Amino acid sequence: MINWIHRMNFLIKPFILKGTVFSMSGFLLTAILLLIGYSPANSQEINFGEFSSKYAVTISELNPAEDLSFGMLIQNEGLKSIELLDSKVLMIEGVKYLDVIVDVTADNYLFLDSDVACNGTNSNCIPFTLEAAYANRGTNNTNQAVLMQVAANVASAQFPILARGNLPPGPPPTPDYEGYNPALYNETAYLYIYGSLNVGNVDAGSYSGNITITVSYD
Amino acid sequence: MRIFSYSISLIIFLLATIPVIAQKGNGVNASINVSAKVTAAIELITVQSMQFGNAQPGQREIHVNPINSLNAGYMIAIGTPEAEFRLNYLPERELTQIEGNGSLTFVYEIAGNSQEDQATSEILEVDNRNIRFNNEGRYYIWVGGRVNLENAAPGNYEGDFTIEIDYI
Repeated sequence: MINWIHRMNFLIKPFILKGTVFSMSGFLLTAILLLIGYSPANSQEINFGEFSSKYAVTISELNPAEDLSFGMLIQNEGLKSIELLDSKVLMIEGVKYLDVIVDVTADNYLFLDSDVACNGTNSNCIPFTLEAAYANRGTNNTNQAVLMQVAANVASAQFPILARGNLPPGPPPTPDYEGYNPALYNETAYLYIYGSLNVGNVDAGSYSGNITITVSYD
Repeated sequence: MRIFSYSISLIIFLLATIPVIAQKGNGVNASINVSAKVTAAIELITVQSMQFGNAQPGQREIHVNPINSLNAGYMIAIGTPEAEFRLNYLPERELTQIEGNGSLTFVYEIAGNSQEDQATSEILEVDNRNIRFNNEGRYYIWVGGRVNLENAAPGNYEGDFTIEIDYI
């Protein structure tokens, strides 16, 4: 989140200066409509990520094609957890001074042989509880991880690609000019996905579920 | 003129709001799989306990051959069909005299087979790692061993046997 209050004039000014006022009532209506169009909540913030299509963000797996695997479990084993240290690691690469919004959405159950007919009491599904964290200090280090809030198996967080620490917000992004290389301003943040299963009296076999990660600039 | 003015106002309003929406959507998605393999819990069923019988006076040793003795203990392990497992056991256990302070050291010998056939079973070492349940999820175990009676006080002795089975 970057606050840049005085830049608000930049957005409004062209419409006021270039608008043709044909009558006082028309002018007032224009002003009212503009005020409605820009609610106070938006007026305190400029989302720099929206101002250039060149600000790309990518997400990739540290160990591609590797599941968040709980391995072999025994019927009625109970709670089985994968800890943060053993989590599935994803890398988010983007402009280091921009904020990203990250949403991690997991299935509530792992399903036996992809049979999704599960009502929570069936013997062919295992409840899954999602946990997630991120590290944005430039290194893949779980000791620096910040836990994400999780509600109904959806973890969400907003953070800069590179943590600012106690420093004030950085300058606006480098303008998009010919020869501009956004990679020079990129950094990698790390996303850790883990969680737990509660294995009850379920059928033996292979269980799986899906976790979707969405990343976008604020 | 006024209608024209309102129209201009409406157009300006629309122009003012469209760009913000249009520039959204620079996000990316990824998907990962979460998986687990659940196996049936292993059960060990004791079908028959090992029988020593009565040692005769002057008898130096009792030996229960797990492959061919009818006195061998008999157990069935039940688990996931075709699953590999490892089997560990403590080869030496102390038998204590029920009425008295005497004790004997029993050295176990274990034989196993994926078929229910003691005669074709094979001796299992202390730590076996390449054993597999059969296609019905069963593995058959016979328990024998030997005990030295040379310094044993007369009486009844008892002890237990610990066997550990884990999926690999």
